[in-house]
Amino acid sequence: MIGLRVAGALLALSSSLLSAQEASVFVGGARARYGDSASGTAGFVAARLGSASGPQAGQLDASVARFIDGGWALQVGAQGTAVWRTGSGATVAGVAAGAALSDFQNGRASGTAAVGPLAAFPLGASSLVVGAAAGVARTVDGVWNALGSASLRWQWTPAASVAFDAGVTGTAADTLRLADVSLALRVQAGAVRGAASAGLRVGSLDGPWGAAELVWEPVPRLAFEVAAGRYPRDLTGFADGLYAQAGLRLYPLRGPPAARRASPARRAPVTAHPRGDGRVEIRVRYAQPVRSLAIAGDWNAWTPVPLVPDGANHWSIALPLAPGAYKYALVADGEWTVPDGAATVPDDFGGQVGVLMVGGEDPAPLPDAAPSQ
Amino acid sequence: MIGTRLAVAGLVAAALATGAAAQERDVRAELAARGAPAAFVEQVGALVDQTRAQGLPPGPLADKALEGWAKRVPPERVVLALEQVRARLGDGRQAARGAGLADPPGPVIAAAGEALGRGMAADDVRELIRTAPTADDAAAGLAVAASLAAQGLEMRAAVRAVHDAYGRGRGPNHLFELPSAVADLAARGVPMSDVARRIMQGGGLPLPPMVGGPGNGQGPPSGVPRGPPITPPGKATGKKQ
Repeated sequence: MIGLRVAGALLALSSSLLSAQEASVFVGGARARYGDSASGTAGFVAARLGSASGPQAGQLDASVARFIDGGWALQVGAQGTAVWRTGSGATVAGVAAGAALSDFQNGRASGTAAVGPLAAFPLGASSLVVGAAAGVARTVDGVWNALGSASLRWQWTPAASVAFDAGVTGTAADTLRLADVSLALRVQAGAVRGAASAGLRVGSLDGPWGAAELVWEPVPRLAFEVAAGRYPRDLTGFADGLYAQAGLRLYPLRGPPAARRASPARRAPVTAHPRGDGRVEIRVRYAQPVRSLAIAGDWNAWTPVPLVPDGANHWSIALPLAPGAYKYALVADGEWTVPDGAATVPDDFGGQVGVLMVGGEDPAPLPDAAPSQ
Repeated sequence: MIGTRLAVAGLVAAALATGAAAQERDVRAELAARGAPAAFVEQVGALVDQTRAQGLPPGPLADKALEGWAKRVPPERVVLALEQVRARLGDGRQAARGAGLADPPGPVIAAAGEALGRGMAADDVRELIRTAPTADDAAAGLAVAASLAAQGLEMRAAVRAVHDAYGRGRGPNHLFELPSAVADLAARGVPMSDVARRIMQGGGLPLPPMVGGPGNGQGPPSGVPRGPPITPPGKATGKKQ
């Protein structure tokens, strides 16, 4: 029964990857200095397929590196989860699987593959994730070993753009016994996101490790990525090393056509910005040339209020709105409409209305009045 | 801080009940003041009265009538829409009761009905209500999940995002910022599938670290070749040959 569930989860992951909703190509260079004093510089091309569909998520990475002094290396990694919510509130349980493969010119392929259950328990503003996995490892000298691991992670997301992750993972393979204690931080600010992690491996392959990564996405289909770090000796027989890499990630495909059509918020033509004085600035980007533009919604019994021109194709107004969910429509030269690209729902009359969410500014002073009519 | 939270909750309740705010207004007087024909005014008023008599919040009907009249929708079509809204409210109340609320507040009924009307599964509606810390949270969560779906997020992913936000102890004030976060990512070209994943990761369920694989501190990232084997490879693993 368990085998069937695992097989089902893997099948679901495979089908998710086959219908990848994100595909990207990374072109860059890396400089690595290994623990045994050997070092190398390589240029490489990597590809990534990612998919998240409901309770399933998966990612496949593959890269080919060419050293400037000759030789090549191939690496492939895949990981995925399929989860189910349990009947007890926000707790989820599921299956996680991961695999990695390395192959060098004139060398033997090595890698690991493991699958196992996981469960996540909400703890206030954080979550506790418990997991275990069993699988196999193939060492660089071609020896197959069974491996097993167990992990405990605590994840805390104090804000939408900041996340902490602390965990401990124990791994056993053949005669190796090792544990990793880790701490990670992930932040995002506008088009820039960064991640840093550090840890200590104790036991058979002891040593510190750490990594930092910075990604800047100046435009939708392009990202600059730099990363550096130190990785430890691993259980397939590779040496530890220091590395630095930099490159460009291109997104020639940002999801299948259906997914792109399902992304009306891409252009975000109407936005709400609380000003802190009890009013919310509504900004509207309306591409079509019009003489007048007004906004109406369920906050004022659908009474159009004129918007003020605010730059090319932009209009704005400050309204006394409390945090909440609102419906709206625009009146452009007397015609009711919703701007292209807005999040909409049917209006029950055969048309559409826009959906506008107004967030709060906690802990800033809050307005002390309900929305005015 | 608690006072602030309560103030927010109160404002949210007021905002969610925008339609409910209409229930306090005299929809007959408002429609008449806007030049609606008397027969239409009376038809709408009667529907609103019947809805109230059924124990359902009449605000959404009043709001829909005002919206329809403002858009110059033919009266008969407005009345049909009001019947649809009333049916959704009934479904919403049933779902709320199924979630354990014997006498669900109007905003929860309205939000549940709206969510069901937008394709949210009844089980998901009930669970979002059941697991919400407060009734205000339930109404906000339902509205936000439906809004996230309107933005292009898969409905199940939207429900999970709200569910995770509940789990992290986020109140309505934070919930209403979720759509902005989604819009921000989408505006930068991040596909909705990836947006969903990032939100879920923020919710505490990232992809697990691979055993012995690259990334997550256990090896170099994709593209950086691993170091040469410790010589001889077999001995480094402790494997006896």
